Amino acid sequence: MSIAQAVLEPRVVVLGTTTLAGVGASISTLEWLRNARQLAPGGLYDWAIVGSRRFAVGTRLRARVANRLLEYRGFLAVLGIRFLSVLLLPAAVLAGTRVAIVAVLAVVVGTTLLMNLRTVYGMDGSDQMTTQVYGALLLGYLPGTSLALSAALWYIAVQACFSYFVSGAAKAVSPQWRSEGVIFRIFNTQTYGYEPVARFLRNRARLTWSLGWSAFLVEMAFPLALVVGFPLVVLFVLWGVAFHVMNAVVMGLNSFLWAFAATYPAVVHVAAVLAS
Amino acid sequence: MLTVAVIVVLAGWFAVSVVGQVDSRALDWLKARDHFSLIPRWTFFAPKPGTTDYHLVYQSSTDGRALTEWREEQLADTRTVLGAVWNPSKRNKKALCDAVRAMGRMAREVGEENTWQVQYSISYIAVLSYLSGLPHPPSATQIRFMVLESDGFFPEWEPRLLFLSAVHALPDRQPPDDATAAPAPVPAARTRP
Repeated sequence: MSIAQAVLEPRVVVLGTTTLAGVGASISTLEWLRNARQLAPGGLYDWAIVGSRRFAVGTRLRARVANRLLEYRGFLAVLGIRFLSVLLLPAAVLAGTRVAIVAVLAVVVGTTLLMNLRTVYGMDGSDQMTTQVYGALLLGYLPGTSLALSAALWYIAVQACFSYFVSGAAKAVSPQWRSEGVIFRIFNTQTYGYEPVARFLRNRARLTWSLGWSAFLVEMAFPLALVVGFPLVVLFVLWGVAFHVMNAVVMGLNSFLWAFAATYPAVVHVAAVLAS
Repeated sequence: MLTVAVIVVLAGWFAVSVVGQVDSRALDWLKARDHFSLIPRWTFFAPKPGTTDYHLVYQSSTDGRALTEWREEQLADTRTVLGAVWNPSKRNKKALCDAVRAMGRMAREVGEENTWQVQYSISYIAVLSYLSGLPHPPSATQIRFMVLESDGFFPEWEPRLLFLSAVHALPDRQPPDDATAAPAPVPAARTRP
């Protein structure tokens, strides 16, 4: 099977998506487990504090279940189960049994939603995209029809393009982003920046301006990936990978690479389907 | 039938995602109940990118007498090659950053006279709990913290105070007779104008 044929095959696309998402989700889950001390009583995510939200307070069934699953030991079990299930998912896809795929996906989605519920702080866009990817795949596999799975892949592809477009458009309408120094000012922070890069950009106003504009123009152009056909769509994928690798190295945003790369098989698939 | 239902759900989910990108009061109700983070927000670093650093500093005391200098709890990572793959400290630092930003935002929203309300927020309590759990001198019975804002590696202005907490009793420490019990009365807090 050639690559051009493979990207038209939904099962191959799902295998790519679940593998990439699985790498990111397993790293992310292990990072949470590495921080287990902060989830314990007295830690930053002490359930006695973050669980004082309305849904978890009281004696109703919802509150009792939330407290059982999300207190320290319960949540460590949730994280452990998530780690195993995201690694198991590509194997289930390879095996090709729909019931097994739905069962593992249900566990992945369930534990992902519990993670979102439990960790009110410290979540980022990669967690949002991972939720979108796994959620759409679960919905796509539920009916057991190729149309539903295809709809899920379209959802992932369109959501990915939409995310880049919104990210670019929100910058394009921002006076701060259109001004000269914004890229320098971001890289100048200890939070998201990197001192050598800030030093390099410090007195290069034109370069800084160009980087800012090129970032949001390319982001806004990303939806074109769906209509340029195969193999031109690969150029967009390569830009995306380079963009997220740079963000991982310079800004420390390691989880974005895997979460957004997980959408690329669906982007390539839809581009190839539209071109065919 | 189930296939049609799935397609409708996916279409609806995407529609909510689209609407969720703009700030609207109509959506606030929905977003406030989105405990599972199903509605994404894709406006990364926009429209106002973070171009300043926040600093969380704390001080131990007993009977109102400072026992330590102000000490900083780092909110930023040092970049490493490994950090591009495995970065567990990022979560805690981002969580502290989020909490600190939330406190600063709330302090601005409620106004200077009502800054005391911030101490009843989850952000404030979580930060206080976290800082209370850090090592303190054996005789320390109280803690306070403040949030500062600075201008990064190459600053053009001096760091400025955003928020000063009340003095709180450290848990499991014997406070002096007249020590403040948590929650404290109206804190000596002020924010950037």
